[in-house]
Amino acid sequence: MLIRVIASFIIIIGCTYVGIYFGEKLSLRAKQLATFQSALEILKFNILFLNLPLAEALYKVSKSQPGVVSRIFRDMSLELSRDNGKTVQNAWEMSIAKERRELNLLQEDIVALNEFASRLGSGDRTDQTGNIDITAAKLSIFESEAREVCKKNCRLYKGLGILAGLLIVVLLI
Amino acid sequence: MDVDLIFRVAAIGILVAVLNQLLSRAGRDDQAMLTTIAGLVVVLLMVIEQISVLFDTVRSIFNL
Repeated sequence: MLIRVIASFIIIIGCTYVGIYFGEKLSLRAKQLATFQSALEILKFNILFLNLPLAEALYKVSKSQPGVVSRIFRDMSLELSRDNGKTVQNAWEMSIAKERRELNLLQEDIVALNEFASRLGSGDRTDQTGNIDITAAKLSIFESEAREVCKKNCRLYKGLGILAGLLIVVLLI
Repeated sequence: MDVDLIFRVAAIGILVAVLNQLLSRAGRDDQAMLTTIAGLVVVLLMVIEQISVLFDTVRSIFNL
C-alpha cells in the first residue's frame, strides 16, 4: 500500500513537472525577447554616445545582460576582437549557433536578429541607430505576440500536467 | 459489489470535467471534446464487464 502511494506521488510530481516545464518554455521566449530589446538599447547608447568600437560596445552589453543573451554578445565580441577576418555577421551566426539550444526563440525571431547582424557595423552612426531601432520594434511586436500566446497557454500546460498525472494514477490504481 | 469501480469512475468523471473546462477556457474546444470522448471510452472499457454480467443475470432470470 505504501509503495503504491509513493509511486502515485512520483507520477503526479513528474507529470506536474513536465507541465510546468512546457509552460516555462513558452514564457521564456517573451523574457528572452525582452532581454534582447534591452541589450539593443544599451548597444545603441554605447555606439551613439560613448563612441565605442563595435567589439567593445558588444562586450559592455554582455556585462549588463543576464544569461544566454550575455553569452551571445560576449562570444561575438571575443570573436570580433580576435581579428581573424570574420565579418560581424559570421561572428553573430557562430555565437547564435552555439547557444541555439538555450534560446527559446522561434525561427522568425532568429531571422529578425540575423538581419540585424547583417547590417550591424556597416554604415555610419545614423544607420546603426536606425538598424537597432527597427530591430527593437520588430522584437517588441514579437514579444507582445509571445506574451499573448503565453497568457493563453501557460496556465493550460500547468493544469494539463497536474490533471494528466492524476488521471494516470486513477487509471493505474 | 465492487465499490472501488464506482469511485474510480467518479474520479475519472471529475478529472475529465476539469480538463474539459480547462481546455475550453483556453479556446481549444475540439480538444476538449476529444478528451471528453476519451474519458467516456475509458469508463466504458472499465464497466463493460459489469454490463455483460448484468445481461447474463437478466438472461438467466427470465430463462432467455
